[in-house]
Order: sequence, then C-alpha cells, then structure tokens
Amino acid sequence: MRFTRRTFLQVLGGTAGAAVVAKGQLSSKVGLAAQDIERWATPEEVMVPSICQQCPGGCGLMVRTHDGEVTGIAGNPYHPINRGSVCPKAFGGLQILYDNTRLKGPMVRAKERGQFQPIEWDKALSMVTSRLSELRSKGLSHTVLILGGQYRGYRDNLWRRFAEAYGTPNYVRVRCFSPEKPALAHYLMQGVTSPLSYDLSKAQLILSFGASLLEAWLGPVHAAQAFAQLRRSSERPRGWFIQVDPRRSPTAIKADRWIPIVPGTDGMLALGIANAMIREGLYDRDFVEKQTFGFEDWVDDSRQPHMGFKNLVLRDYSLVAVSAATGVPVKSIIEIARSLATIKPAVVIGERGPAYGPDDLHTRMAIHSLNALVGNIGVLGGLRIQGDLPLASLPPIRRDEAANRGLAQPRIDGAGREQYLLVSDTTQLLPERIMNGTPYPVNMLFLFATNPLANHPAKQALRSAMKKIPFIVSFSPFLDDSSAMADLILPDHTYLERWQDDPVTHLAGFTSFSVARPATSPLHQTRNTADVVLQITKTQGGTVAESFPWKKFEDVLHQGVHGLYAAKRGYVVSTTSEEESLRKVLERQGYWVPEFQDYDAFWNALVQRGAWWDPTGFPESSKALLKTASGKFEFYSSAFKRLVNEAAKKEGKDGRFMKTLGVEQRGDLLYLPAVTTPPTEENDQFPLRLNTYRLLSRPVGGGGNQPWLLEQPAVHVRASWESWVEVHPETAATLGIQEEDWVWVESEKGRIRVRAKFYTGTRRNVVHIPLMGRGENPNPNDLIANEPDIFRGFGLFNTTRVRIRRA
Amino acid sequence: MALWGMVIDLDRCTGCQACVMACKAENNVPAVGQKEAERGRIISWMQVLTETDEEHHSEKMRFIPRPCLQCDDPPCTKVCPVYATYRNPEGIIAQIYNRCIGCRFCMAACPYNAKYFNWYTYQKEKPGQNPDVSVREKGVVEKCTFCHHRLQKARERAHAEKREIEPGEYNTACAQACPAQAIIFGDLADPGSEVSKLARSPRAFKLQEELGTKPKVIYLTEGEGGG
Repeated sequence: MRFTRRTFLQVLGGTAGAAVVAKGQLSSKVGLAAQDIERWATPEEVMVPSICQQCPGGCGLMVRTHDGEVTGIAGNPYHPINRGSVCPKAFGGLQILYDNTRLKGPMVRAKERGQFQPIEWDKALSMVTSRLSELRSKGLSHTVLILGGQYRGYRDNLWRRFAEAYGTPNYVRVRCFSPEKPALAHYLMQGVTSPLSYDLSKAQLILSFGASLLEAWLGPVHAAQAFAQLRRSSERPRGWFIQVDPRRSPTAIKADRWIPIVPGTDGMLALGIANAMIREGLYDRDFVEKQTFGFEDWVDDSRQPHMGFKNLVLRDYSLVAVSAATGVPVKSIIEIARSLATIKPAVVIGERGPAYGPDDLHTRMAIHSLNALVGNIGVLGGLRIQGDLPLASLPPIRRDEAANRGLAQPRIDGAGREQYLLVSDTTQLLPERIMNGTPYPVNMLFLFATNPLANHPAKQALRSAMKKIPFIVSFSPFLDDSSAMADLILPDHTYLERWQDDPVTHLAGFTSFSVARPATSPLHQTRNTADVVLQITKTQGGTVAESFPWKKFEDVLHQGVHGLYAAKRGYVVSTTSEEESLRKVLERQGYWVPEFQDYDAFWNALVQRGAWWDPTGFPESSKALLKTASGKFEFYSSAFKRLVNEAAKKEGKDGRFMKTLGVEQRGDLLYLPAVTTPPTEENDQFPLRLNTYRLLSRPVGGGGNQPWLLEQPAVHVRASWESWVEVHPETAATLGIQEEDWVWVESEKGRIRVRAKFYTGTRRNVVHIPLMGRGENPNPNDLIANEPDIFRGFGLFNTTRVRIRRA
Repeated sequence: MALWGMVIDLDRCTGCQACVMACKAENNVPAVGQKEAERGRIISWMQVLTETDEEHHSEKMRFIPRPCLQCDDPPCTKVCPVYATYRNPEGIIAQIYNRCIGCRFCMAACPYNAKYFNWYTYQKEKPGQNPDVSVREKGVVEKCTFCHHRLQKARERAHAEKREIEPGEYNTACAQACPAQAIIFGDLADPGSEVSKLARSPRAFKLQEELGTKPKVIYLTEGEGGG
C-alpha cells in the first residue's frame, strides 16, 4: 500500500479528533512516522459535520478542520433545517472554543467561595461520588438538586434518568421555553401532546403577535428561509406579513405592516380581530361548524347553558373597547380581519413571543382562536404538528427502595403542586425556598449548562440561598457568576469537542435528528458531562449503576439511534439529488427503499453527513391535530375544565390552585379565551413601560466571550459592546435626555445605568432594553420583580414600569 | 474572462448580520475592542447599513448589506500612490498589504466607506483562524476581496482536473451563510448565470450610481415586481 498521509489518518480512525490524539501520544512507529510527515506535509483539511448549540434552532454545521484544529464554521449543506446557511451566532462557536478564559481542568474551592485551585479528575469525581453515596445511605437522596439549562436530547435523558435512579424529584430546568413540549394553550384547545409547527414557507399571510420570527423565535435560520419563500418565490405572488409588537423590531421592519400595540394587550387585539371577522361573516364557516366546539352557545349534559365564543366576543370585545385598550385604530383591526379572511393560506403565530403579561394563557388562547376562525388547521400553509422521532427506547430505569423514597418527596421548586399544579419547573421560586429550607434543605446542587446568577430576577436572593447549600458542583467550561459559587467545577467540553445529539422538535413539522462527533479533540483537561454522569453512576453501584449500562455517551447515542434505522422510514441527509431519487420511489411506487445494508453502515453515514430526517412521515390530517375529548378544536376547553375538576377533588374548592385561578369568580370565562381587560395605565411615579427583548446576536448563555457578536450586536440602532435603552425622541425631549446620554432606568425594584439611544420605532410610553450577554453590562432583569407565571412557571418579564433620568 | 459580481435582494434581507460574521470568520477580521470601537474603528468588510425613510417620519427602515462594491471604475485605486490597490482583470479590486504605506487616500476616496485601517496590531496568528487568509498588521488598509482566496482554490482545483470553474464552485462566505438567500454571487459576464439574470431585474439599482463608479454589487429593491 502506498503510505500517504491521507491513508494514515484513515487507519487511525478517520475523525480529525482521533488523529490529533494519536499524533500527540503514540510513540509507536506509526506515530513517529506521523511526526515526520508533519514536518513537511500541508495540513489536511477535513470537514466534520456538527450541530450549532448557540440557540435551540438546531442548525447543522460543517466544521472545517486542519489537522484537528478548527479553522472555520459553515452551514451543513445537507442539513434539512438550514440547508447550508447559518445565522451570525454560528461563527461565535470559534470564539467559544478558543476562548482563553476557559477552565483548563477541574477546580476545587480553595477556602472562600470564589477561590479555586486545580484538582485531578479522579479526586474530584470521588468527592462527588462519596457525597452522593453518603446522602443516599442517609435517606437524603431527594436533597440533591439538579439545575439544567437550555438543551435537549440524550443529555436531558441522562440527567432525568440519573435523578430517577438515584432518587431525587429535583431535576429542575431553567429556561424560558421548552421546545419539546406544546404550549399549554395548544394542549388545552387542540389536545396535542407534541409541539405545533407552522408551514410558514407555504403561507401567503403571516400574522404574528410579538413573535420575533426573524430574530429569536424557534430558529432564526429556518424562519428566515421561510420568510424568503414568502417574499419571493417563482410560483406565487409575494406573501404578506403583519407584525404586532410594541417595538419596531427587525422583524417588524421587514413586515409589510407594523401594528404598534400597548404591551400586554395582544389577547385583546386578537379578540377584537375575531369580533370583526364574526360580525362581517369573514370566518371559515365550514371549519367552525364541523371541526370546532364551543363557538355557538351550548347546553351541557346537565342542561346548563354555556356561552359560546361567538357571543362572548360580540359581547365583551367590541372594536371600540379593543381599540381603546390596545391603542390600535378600529380601521386597522378591521383591515387585519379582512386580510385574514381573504389571503389564503393564512397562519397566526404568537406562540413564543415575549411573555404577554399576567394573563399569558388566555392571551395565547385568544391568539390561537384566530387559527380556528381562519380554518387553517391541518392545511398546506397553515398549522401542522411535529411528528414523533422513532428513537429506540433505552433499557428501563431500575429503582430501589431508596430511589422510591426520594422520588415520593415534594419538589423543592414547588412545581406540580398548589397554584403551580400545571407547571413542570418554577425556578422563580427557588431562592426563597432554598433559603427557608422549604420543604427541606438542599444538600447538594448540580449546575449544568445554566448560569442562573447572571439572569435570575432575584439573583441576590439566589446567591444568598446558594451559600446555604453545603456542596455545589458546576459543569461550566467557564468561570461565570454561578460557577464561581461552586465547591467543585468539572468543566464540560464546549460543543465542538464532544459527541452531541439534537432531536429538533420545532420546525416545519418534519422530524429530524442530528448527531455530531467531536470536530476536534479537547483542548483542555475537560470532560463531556454526559460521560461524567455515566462515570458517577458506576461508582454508586446497585440499581443506579444498573440503570446506566453504557461506557460512554457515544454508546447511548448508538443505542437510541438504532430506532431510526429500524423504523424503515426517513433518510440520512445527503445531497438533494440523491435524496430526491429515493423519495421519488416512495412517492411513485409507495415503498421505502433502504439505503444501507446494516446498522453500522447507517451509523457511519449518519456521523459522516450529520443528520437523519423524515420529510414525509409527519401527521397532517386534522384528526392528528385535533386530539381533544370532542375531537374538535375547542374554544371552550374541556381539558382545562377537567384539570380544574380534578384539582378541586384533590385539594377542595378553597385550594391554592383554585383560588389563584379564580375558578369561582371567572366561571365559564376561565375555559374560554377570555382575556381580562388590563387596568388603564396611570402611574405618575413610573410612567413608562419596560420591554426587554432578546437580540438575534445573543446566544444561549449570553455570549459574553464572543467578541464578534458583542462588537456588532444589532443594526437598528448604532451600538457596540455596551447595552442601551431605546427611547422615543419625543419622550426623551420631555425628559431632557440627549442621544447617547447615560441614563438611570429605575423601577420599584432597582436601577441600572445604560446609554440612551433614540429610536422612533416604539410607542412613546414604552422603553426597550435588549438582553446583552456580557458580565459587566447592566442586566435589565435586575429591574424586574420576581413574579412567576402560574401557567408557565417562568417569570413575568414584561410587566414592569420604569422611569428614566439623566445619570 | 469572468466578471465577478453580486446581487443583494433587499426584499429578502432580514438584517441578521450572518454575512457580517461569516466574513469575519472567513477573512480573519478581528474584533477591535470597546475602546477602538468607540473611536469608530470597527473593521467590518461586510457591514449592514440602515436607511430610514424621512418622508414617512422615519417610520420605514431598510437594511443594506454593504461589502466592497468592487467598482468597475473604482475611485480608490486611482489615488493609491504605491499601486497597493488595483482592479484585477476579473473585476475584483485587490489590496496588496505589503505594498500599502497606510496613507489612507483610498479610504478617503471610497464613497461607500468600504475600506478599513489597522490602527494597531489588533491580533496575531492564533488557532481558529482561516489558514488561507493572512492576518493584517498595523498600518495597512484592508477591505472585502470577494473572498478572493476561494477563487484561487477553485481555480487550482479546476486546473488540476483540466476543466473550467463551474458555476457555484466559487462563492463568497457571506453569500454562503445568508439564511434568507438574499445574496447571490456569480459571473456577471455569463448572461445565463443567476446573478446576471437578477442584475437585469426591473428591481435592480446600484448605490450612488450617479458617481459613475459602476459597482458590481447590485441591489434589488423591495416590493412587487419581477425578478
């Protein structure tokens, strides 16, 4: 065999990462030969598919490497989510990887909190495992709290499994939304248990209530591609896009029409539009008659009359009242209603906008009602639903008595009980409950992929609470606000250095699963946290160890992915033409053709190309989309009614859940999309409303170590490095504020000092502060009271009032 | 001979800056830091400009991604005393760092502010950089080169395989990254190429055409209309 560098690397295992390890460590003849070659050979370029982890969008990357060193990032041209393009955040991956402030290895607290010294991995791990065993043997396994940030897939799976096998109910997620779950409003009205998706690229009209479609919605790249289709496509006329938002965001700039709205009144506007549609007979009568429940007045089994959606809207949400509350002229409301009725297919989104205010659930229900009035459920260019991924189930979790005892304990964050009955995580309550030891003191805290001390609205309280926890373990690759509080830091790899998976659950409906091998070998003495979890469980023995029969994370992926191979559907992504031909067989001849002889070939192809997807197998029928008790879209949510009845049985009519919800006072209105009219806005002390928003250039975790993104964070105002507040020039004039002045923004809770930027794209009594991810930048969350929303468990971030004065 | 050009569809552009960051990663453009940024010294070969519509009380805004427009009649080359910047036969305005004496005449001459000066040594060679592009030092002017190194690579590959460069084989980093596919790059001399078809669209216009610079970056305006 002719021995070339290329064949040599192939012999060593093919991955760029493996090649580098080998070069550094092998002293065999092969290794020495490699070093000889190294002196004169041009570095070999290897492209490694990977997954961007800067936001939950799940774009496929193609990482360019030269001898294992990452030299560039581009989109994976095969990946169905982004088809080769990326958003600006993708390139920040280079700066995370090579950030020289990264932790070089495990660290242990020296004396005071915040002081560290290096420690060896083995010693560090034994500190964790001995504590875990001790707590478990004392019957205190439930006092271990795991805080996890924004991630999904098998890493989530492993932590969940660990919590269950070890015996703690306290696996709490800190994140503003869960991409793998449907919004509660969608569950209540449609009965769906997987997230809805939107056929944006085929829609002819998009009406968006504050969803920052083109910035920080479910995936900016996918959304931008859909937007491009809406704008320019050879087959059809240019689509129409309406954005309702208090601020003229970049999304609103690109819209054909921007509707400035009083913050927190989106639900009112939606019902006003419904009113206009009903009065002018513009709704889809056929769909409403056949496929919805609760539109007309109705009588239940016990002959009780109930008001229908139609009369509710006609009675309570007249155009004049809606216009007064929302600040949107009657004429505009009617025009939107007419556009919705005449431009087909139309889709109404608003699902993951900013929090809409205290009436979040009903606001979302009101917005979602418009989709039923338009009749776009299960139609091309309308609403769809995510298909399920056919991943293989992992072996069952084994539980012993200790685990069962621990799991029977109530959760520390109070989720799933009392007024938080409908919520899976309430991080907002943690500071107080940890501080007071309710319902019991926390003995150990794991922090994974989250930095709550940077962003939590009650971060001072959380800091004091964390001081009470005897042992904190952080997996952060960086020394950040939260990891500085830790007793032990076991740094994770950054994403280009580790095995990754990503089941993307929130797109145009098709299912897709990405797998990535390391693009480079680890730069420092870090370890994949998923592997660390596997290692920890080994030492716990018994059922805990039995629940984790894998040596390394890669084995977990290998086992789960087998389901994709065995499902006999879908394709490993590849160039469009190759895939087309396989799909044509399916479409014309009706059978699916396997591309691979065995699972090994499938796995290898998957790792080489980066993802698997099934473009055909997602449910589209209205049956799949309407899974309520009545099999129809429910304006009157019987599922909600059922939940409340069950709660009433469990905790009585005077229970916290019933009281907070106002079950008695609201009566039927609770189950209908009836938003409460917000009180009129008069507040002399704090005359302005604060709106915080997420920039497109802000990655998960804040991106404090990504200079490119921090230097040019946005283009709608001239900004660089520093955070700012957007003020209408006329408002600024009355306050005596000049452009670029330093100002104090003050709320009841606190104050921050930022630069004023003039921006005409806002309502005059609203000011806007972006969430800028940089440690020393002032954080607008410091102004916001720590109120959890009882339906989402997350903070109400858009209800704060402020005043501004020159600093 | 090819004539490389670019069409940017402003109707599709969402102002996301993917092109900006893609360019920085591809061409080893550093972040200059907060102090230098305050002095207006950010280097951004591709930059998203905004334009507000005064007629509508600034209620309308548009995003304009601006690379070097690679003028066919470039004002910048004519003022360079040392031939550090010149128009090459394929229409790309080249910049030779080793010749540049840092006089910044070309920066003053460019009506589009597409040229940038290295006031300091903002970075050294380090991991994570693109090995195909040299790192510029203090005292030289730099700008967008239409990712010229990619053309060289594509040409070498084609030459080795004894063929012509195929359409799409040479693409710029910004066009490759753009999620809205607003940036189309290609050969303007080939009447069949997508870029030349779009350049003839009724929506097409050029920035400050009246100056006679003949830019090879052509914009498509928003709204209805063919193309």
